[in-house]
Amino acid sequence: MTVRVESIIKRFGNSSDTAAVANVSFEAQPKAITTLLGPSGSGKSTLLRLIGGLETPDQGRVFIDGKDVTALSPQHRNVGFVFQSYALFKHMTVAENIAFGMKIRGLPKAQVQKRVAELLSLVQLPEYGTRFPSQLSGGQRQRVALARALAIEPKVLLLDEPFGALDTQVRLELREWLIGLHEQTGITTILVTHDQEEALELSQHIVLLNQGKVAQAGSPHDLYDHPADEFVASFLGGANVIKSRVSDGEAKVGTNSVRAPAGAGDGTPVQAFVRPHNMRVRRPNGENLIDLGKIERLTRVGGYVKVYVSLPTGESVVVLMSKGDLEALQVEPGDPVAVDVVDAKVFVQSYSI
Amino acid sequence: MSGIVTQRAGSAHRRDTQIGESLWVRVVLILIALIFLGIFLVAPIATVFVSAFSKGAGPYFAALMQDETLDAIRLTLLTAGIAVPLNVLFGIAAAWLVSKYDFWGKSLLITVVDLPFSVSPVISGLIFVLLFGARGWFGPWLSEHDVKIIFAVPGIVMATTFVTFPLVARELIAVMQAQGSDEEEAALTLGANGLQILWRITLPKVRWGLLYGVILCNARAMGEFGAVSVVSGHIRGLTNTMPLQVEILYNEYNFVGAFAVASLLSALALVTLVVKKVAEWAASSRQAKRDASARALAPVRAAVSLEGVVQ
Repeated sequence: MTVRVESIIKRFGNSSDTAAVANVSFEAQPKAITTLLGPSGSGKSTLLRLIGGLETPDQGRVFIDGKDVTALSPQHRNVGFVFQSYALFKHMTVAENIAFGMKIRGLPKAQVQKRVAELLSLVQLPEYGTRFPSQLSGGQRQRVALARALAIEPKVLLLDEPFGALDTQVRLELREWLIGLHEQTGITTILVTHDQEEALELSQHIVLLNQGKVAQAGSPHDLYDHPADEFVASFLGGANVIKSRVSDGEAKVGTNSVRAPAGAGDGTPVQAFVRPHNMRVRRPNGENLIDLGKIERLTRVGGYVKVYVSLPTGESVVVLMSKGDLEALQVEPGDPVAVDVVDAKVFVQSYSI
Repeated sequence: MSGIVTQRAGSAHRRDTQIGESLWVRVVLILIALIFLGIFLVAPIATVFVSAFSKGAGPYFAALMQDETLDAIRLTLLTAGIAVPLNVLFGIAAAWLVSKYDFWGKSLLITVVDLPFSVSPVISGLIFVLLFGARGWFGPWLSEHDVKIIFAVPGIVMATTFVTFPLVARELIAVMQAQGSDEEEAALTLGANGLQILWRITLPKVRWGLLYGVILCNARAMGEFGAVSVVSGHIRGLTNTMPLQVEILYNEYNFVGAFAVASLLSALALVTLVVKKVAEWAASSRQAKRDASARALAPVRAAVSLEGVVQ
């Protein structure tokens, strides 16, 4: 089922306040996981609540499966909503929690019991039906919340930072588990997160939000390799920022020259965003000493080495190299090196002070 | 009051184990607490019962069985029976409104809810006399249509409802605001309507707070003197509630009768405290039981997961 959001505007408080969601449109493809990604205050949770009907937009429309649901109460939208705080009913057992939506719909008791048992085994908690939420761990509670949301056979599943309150280990496990669950159920899912790694790993489609607007939407691959602007480049995957100026249609970045953005005349200040793995360190090969960088520090991270290099322009960059490559170079902190840039995104520098 | 005193005694004791204060300091502090309790709490309550039974059990029950006294008890039960449910309804509605919605004038509403607490009960009674009395705003219209409010049961019920108005609401507003509305939102997305959410989610969630509010409200409704005194007119057998009956009997030097009725009100207060304690105990022991079983299950779970690894 497709979810489509058209020109949504939502303000809290006065009309003079900046909008939490400022004219957002996007489409979530059926049977895929779409992630609403962004820093805190980017309006991603508000947008999800608007889709679920927990907030009403000031302007714009929400379509689920081609039907305009903007005026429909959440009660009738048939969406599964999972909250960061789990929001389990504390006075009910796990089984009663899962059965709630079906009981409200007046399904026969036998059918409800059967479905509860199915869902409990789907979320791998078959023995936990008689427990109360307070007797479960955080990860288990979130799985119960998912089972409860799935029980009503929703058209879409909306997950609001579902793993936000869990520790790293459990979060990674649940991420894997969610991918498996999604493959099994094939339900259209929209996930809100501020964790770019979670977004890159889980989703087929990312809508990156910044200050209530869509910064860029596309596949994780698109956003990572072809960021539309500085915000996208710096938010998604760490990047080195190197300042430069345009000369003859090119900007000098490290030891290399990179094509400058179209229309940027000579002398225009630009910023180059370079991923740590898109840079190489090598021994100087006849370059001017003034163009060389100096190794500040080497940090080993498993099979990789982070090489901290100070550039002649005064900027510090991080270069990610495999252990073998670095050993072949035989360099040490303090050595002068050339820094080659394999790939960089250059943007005209915005003077927003 | 007793809570504060015991707490003080308890903290004195803790300090003793940590810093090691001498025995006489401990004894003095405990004595101060006990003497205070004795003079201001135990002695007055004991006096009520001692005076009530001063001529034995026979006269005590005879005093209670007097027609006028029985009428006063009946009227008090009727008044509480109307005022408490009204305030429960209002309290739930107000707490729901305040904790689930944002609207203009919300803080004003919260202040107005507290108003009956900050006004002297005599003034509260007077308000209704000024509104519905013979010379009041609605007085002429009411007497034309032969409706009696002041110096009649409706006035007593109104004054009592007004005075006990904040008790349930305040208790529920605090509990509901602390609990947030995540569970209600979850129920909404699962397809529940407003009434279903109220019955199945919100009321079970706040049940102990609600019970406590009802207990307090009931105690105050039965014990209210000032406001009721102004609107009642003290018509024997018709508009006397229990506290008013105590005053009348006392002024007539019928001490056994006065204290017999007073003993009923005191017993009500004691029962109220016991019920409150039981309610709190039930709430906390239920929680403790869950925690304990969660702890007991933890090793089992660990063993199960280990087993999985070994296999």
